[in-house]
Amino acid sequence: MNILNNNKIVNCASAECLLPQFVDGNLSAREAWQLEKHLAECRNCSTKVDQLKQTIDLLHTASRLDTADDFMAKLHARLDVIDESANSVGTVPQRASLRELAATYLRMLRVPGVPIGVAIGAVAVLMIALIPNLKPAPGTITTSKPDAHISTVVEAQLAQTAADPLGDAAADQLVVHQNNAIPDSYNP
Amino acid sequence: MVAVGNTMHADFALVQRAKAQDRAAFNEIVLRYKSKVYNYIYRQVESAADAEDLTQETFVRAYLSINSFQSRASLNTWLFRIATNLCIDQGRKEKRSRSLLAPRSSDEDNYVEQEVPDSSFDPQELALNTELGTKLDAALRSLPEKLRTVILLYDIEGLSYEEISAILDCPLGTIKSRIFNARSAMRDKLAPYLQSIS
Repeated sequence: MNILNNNKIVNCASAECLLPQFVDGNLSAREAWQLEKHLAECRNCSTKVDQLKQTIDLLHTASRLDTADDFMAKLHARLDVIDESANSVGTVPQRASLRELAATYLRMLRVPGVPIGVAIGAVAVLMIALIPNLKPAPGTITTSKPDAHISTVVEAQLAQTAADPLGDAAADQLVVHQNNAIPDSYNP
Repeated sequence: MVAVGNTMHADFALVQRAKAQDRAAFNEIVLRYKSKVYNYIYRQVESAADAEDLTQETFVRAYLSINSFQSRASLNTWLFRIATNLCIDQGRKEKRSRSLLAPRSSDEDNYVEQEVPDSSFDPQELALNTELGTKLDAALRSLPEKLRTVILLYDIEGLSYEEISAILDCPLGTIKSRIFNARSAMRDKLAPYLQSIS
């Protein structure tokens, strides 16, 4: 901002631009000196500065009030209710309200990288939800009873390995889905 | 500066204890800040009862969310931020109820021309300190919310530009400009008294 023209305050408008810093004592020595010269010549501006300083003094001496005598008692009664309701749930007291948790979640979304993580998580959840609807590839063995199936497969593999110690063709075909894709009636 | 550092250190210790469910530590926080928060809210709302309620609410919210308090912020700033948000909500409620009872045009944008809503603005009466305090409070309450908030935080509660900027989530330049506008508006409102003593 070009306040001073050749180090001189040219008019009241430019002087007024310096007033905020002047009343707070934040002007450079040169600027303060220039402004004081202008104030000595301009009654209008000097009155404004005087009144501004008086206003600030008045604000600084504003009366201080205190809370009612029962303020602490009322507050602790409310805090007791909060603690009791948190404890009655039977869990570790969670002090953050639902609104605050939502706000925290929204703040997390503003952190670089977090939205990508959330997106990946959402895709993973969708995939988990969709996988049960996918048909198994031909030749794939699936079961809802992984333990029984594993022992069956291991026995078959041991038999094949005994017959052909250098080959392990059974391992190439071994795919185990530990889900509910095959009804319980399946009996390998 | 040392005192400020000591205060922040003591606040940090209290917050850590309060986070560990130490009610005595939270009690100490309330005792330290209740007067500052109450005075700030008192000049933002229309009645002492509302100010008392909102001060209670400020500390209840602080209690509920103490675990989310980031220690790099100052406790002072955090509490004033909670109080400011509550005052803004309250202001909206009051505005709605006023407009329902007696519709009137908004003067939020014309704060420079706005006068203290009191026809008995007599400089002689203002010689009494109590009366002067009442006029000062009336003038503050008649300021638009944005100007009132910054002048209360800066000139009455003594917060820095940076702290106010953090509380209101506004650029430093905006805060400085609002403070100057608020002071100028207050000067205009209190001009009869100021002229009488100059």
